[in-house]
This record gives sequence, structure tokens and C-alpha cells, in this order.
Amino acid sequence: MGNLGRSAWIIIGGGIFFFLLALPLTLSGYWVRLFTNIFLFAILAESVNIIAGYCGYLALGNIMFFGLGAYVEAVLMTKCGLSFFPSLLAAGAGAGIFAVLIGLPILRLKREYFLMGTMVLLILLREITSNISITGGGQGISLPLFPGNAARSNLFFYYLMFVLMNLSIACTFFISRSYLGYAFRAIRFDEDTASVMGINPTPYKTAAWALSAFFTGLAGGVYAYWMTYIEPGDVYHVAPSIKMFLMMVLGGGGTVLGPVAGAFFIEFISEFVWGRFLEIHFLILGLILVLVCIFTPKGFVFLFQGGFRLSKLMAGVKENKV
Amino acid sequence: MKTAILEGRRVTKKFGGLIASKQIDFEIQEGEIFGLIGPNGAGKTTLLNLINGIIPMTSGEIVFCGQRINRLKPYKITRLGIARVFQIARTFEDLTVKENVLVGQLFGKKKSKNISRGMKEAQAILDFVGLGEKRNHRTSEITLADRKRMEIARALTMAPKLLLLDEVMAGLNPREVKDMMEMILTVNKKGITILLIEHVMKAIMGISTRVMVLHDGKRIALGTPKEISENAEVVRVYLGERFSIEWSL
Repeated sequence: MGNLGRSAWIIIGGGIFFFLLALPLTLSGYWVRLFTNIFLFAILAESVNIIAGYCGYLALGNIMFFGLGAYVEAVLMTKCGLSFFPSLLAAGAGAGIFAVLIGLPILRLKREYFLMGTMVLLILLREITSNISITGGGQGISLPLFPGNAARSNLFFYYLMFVLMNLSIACTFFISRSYLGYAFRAIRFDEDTASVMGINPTPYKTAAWALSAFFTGLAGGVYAYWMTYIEPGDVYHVAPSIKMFLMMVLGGGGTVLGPVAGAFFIEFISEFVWGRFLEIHFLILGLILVLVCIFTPKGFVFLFQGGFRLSKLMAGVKENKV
Repeated sequence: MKTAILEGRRVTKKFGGLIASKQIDFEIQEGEIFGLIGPNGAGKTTLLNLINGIIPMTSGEIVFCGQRINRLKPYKITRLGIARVFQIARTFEDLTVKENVLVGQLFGKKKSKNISRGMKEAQAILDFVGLGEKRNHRTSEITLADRKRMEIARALTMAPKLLLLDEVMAGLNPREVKDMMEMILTVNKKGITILLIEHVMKAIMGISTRVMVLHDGKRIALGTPKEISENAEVVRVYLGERFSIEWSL
């Protein structure tokens, strides 16, 4: 990758990995929680990348699996007395299975119709959750507290999110280099052409969505335990769904590290802007987003692929005009 | 005696009130180059779409190697051994030339999911069509002629028995047309039956064993290139007087 060479990238990647691994030892609780939140969004962006970035199915309502995972976690821990990790596994698996069940009919829809379908499902899940008793209805549900003091709790969730983020990256990495990745990209380009190449699109896109839902559900499960209280309007919210989509697109959909880079970028920018320019927060954030979209329409990781050159910025502008 | 590899019986397709294919009967012999010509809108591409299952048929049936295929999904038809090259190049833009061929290799007839072996075979086929040097180019960076070659390579990697070529010579210059004709003949000599749609008359009349002419969704003639060029109705609706005279000279 690029003129830096493979070993240089491994050193950079390894450096970032160990830096993040050691980070909580030196930082205050505020920053540890901030990074945990960034990891959370990195997982969400990487998950939506599998179905939207690789397969081209714009699952804007993907956050429904986050809510589903959070509620599976909460209900199993409070109503069934299960401990955290078994419930977490159920949260991921439950979201994945749900994706298969709804995927079989809904993945027949294409483009904006699929997008609308996922949004409707998101609203549907929110309304159902608000109106049944086992989830605590609209009042929400409280989870058991993490045993141990605040500092230990911060570290626990920091490292747990960190591990899950790395798992989602590793999973995407293996997909991108296996036949699955080629099937996904062929489907994204054109399903008719893909099927004339001998690809049966249905099992591939269903598997992609199930994987995407699995990681999103895991993130939801951890989030519920971390927050200790969830309500339908919070975990089935459209805004984070749009945000994780934005992160994926900015960083580069259909790449391994793009969505993660996008998540770090947006969260850092919004933290920086938020702290200093409270009044014009959205103005500056919006401006940066517009600039990124103009200059690197395929995502900013493409600037670094095959060597960093400023001329690529202008190439991006031209690409936009097509 | 030669056997039919593909047979169409009363193949009919209606798009609402428009009848795109009207009761077309045809039979393609194993090993031949079967040309398909006709004016724009005659239903040539529709017929190919019916053969590889991209659009469902209204009535009639299509039999491939003794098996009825017109209810099958496109991916199944492909795996049975019918590969297709589209009229408008449908390459996977984000992938390299070699990766495009690899997709055919991975999911076509042979079910080998081994990437490194697939890459090797993709390379061999790219060398065969003369694209070995350009394997790492993105498909958006190569010429139209090269893109068509790449699509043929991608189709060949699926080890087809029958290859459907939809106007692969459209937009090519005379030199490229000549190269393409040679390549089609070479592919055919390997034992692959070819169904070819073409507007470049010199090419199709030069290499086809037999030619079928469609007009308004109906078959109006079927025969050797010579018979077709002398057929009065074909001359009237499609070829024109001048071509007929040129050809018979």
C-alpha cells in the first residue's frame, strides 16, 4: 500500500494500537470515556461499512440492531438474571439472526427503497419496544451497575470497546481479502452483472447484513451496560445512524480502515469544535464535511493509497463533476 | 451429425403491450458461430437476456444441453456453462483488470474459492487475450477495446460451453475489429460455441457459420451468411441494396 511500503504501515498501525492500549494509564476519566465513545462509533461505522460500503445496500436504519442489542442485553440481565458476557453474546447473535429474518424479504428492495425500508423498521422497533412491558416500555430500563469504582468501570468499557473495534476491523480485513469481499463488491456494482458471473446475490447480501448487525448488536449490548439505563428514544435514534453513515462515507466506504478513520476524525473534530466554539459548532462541522466531500469524494483514505499527493485533491474535485 | 447445444421453442416476451420476441424458434449447433442480426429494436439483446435469465420469458422454452433453463436464475444458468459479454461494458470499476477476471474465476462454473490459485488462472487468461501487461490497471483506465477483451477474458474464465457476445465490436476501429474477429475465431476453435450479435456486417458475415435475422421481434430469416445476404426481405428491412451488391461481388 503506497510508497511507504507494507512494513512502514505495519509499524504505524502497531504504533497506534499500542498507543491506544496504553492510553488510559495516563488520561483522566473524561478522556477515557471520550475514547470509549469513539471506539463505539468506529464499531458502528465499520459495521455499516460491511453492508453499505462493500455491498452497496444503504442501511441507514442500521442503528436498529444497536437498539435491539442494547435491549437484549438489558432484558436478559435484569429479567433473566444472566451475567454480562453471555447476554452480550445473545445481543450480537440476536441482532444477527434478526437481520437474516428481515433481510430475506427486505434485501430484495434496492437503493432508496431499501434505505426507506430500514428506516421504517427502525421506527417500528422503537414503537414496539415503547409499548411492551418486558422492555419497561417508554420509561426505559435500568441495568445492574458495574461492580467496582468509576475508574475501574471506565477501564473495563474502554478495553472492551477497544477489543470489539479491533474485532470488527479484523473481520472486515478478512472479508476484503476473501472471495466474500469480491462477491460483495460485485453485488455493489451491479447485481445483474454479478449474477451473470455466477454469484447468487441473496445469501451473500444476507450474510453481509447479518455480520453488520452482529457487530452493531454487540456495540449496543456494551453501551447498555455502560450507560446502566436505556430508553427506546435513546437507543433507536436516527441521529447516530446518520452519523455513523457519515463517518463511513468520509473515511471511505468499502475500505478496511476508512470508516474507523472517519469515526476518529468526526469525533475529534466535533469534540474540538464543541469545546471552543459552542455557538457555531454545527457551522464549522458542516463546513469541514463539505470540504471533505468536495476534495475526497471517495473518502479521505484514498488520499493515502498509492502514496500521498496533494494533486489527488484536485482529482477528487474533477471526480465530483462526473 | 451435429447436436444442438441451445434450442429455443416459440420464445415469446411481452413488455406490456409491446411484443419484443414473437414465437422465435432457433437451434444453435455445438461448435458453431451463430450470428444474430437485425435493425435496432428488433429484439436481439432481449433474446440474450431471455437466454441467460436476466428477464423472465412470457411463454415458450429454452433448452440448453438437453436441460430446460428458462425458469432458472441467471447465476444457475451461468454455472451450467453460458457466459455473457454485455453490449455496454459492465466492468467492476473499482477493481483491477485482474480482479475483474478473478470474480468470474471464483464464482463461475468451477467452485474454487482459492484466491491465489484464481489469480494465477486469471493471469493465464489475461495473457491469452493479450491483456497480461495491463492486469493491475483499473478498468476505468483502459481503452474500450481492452475493456471488451477483459470482459471476454472474464467470460472465458468461467469455462463456458456457450459464449454470448453482444456487439463486442461496436465502437472499435478497423484494426481492433480485425483483432477481435481473430480472437473470437481462436476462442471458437477451443470448442466454445458462440452466439454473436453484431452490426459490423463484414465481421459477422465473415466469421459466422449461420446467421439469424430478427425484425420487430420476429425471425425473418435463418441460414448461411450467403443465403442471408441474398434474402430479399432481409435486404429490404436491414441490409439495404448496396450491401447486397457489395457482398455478392
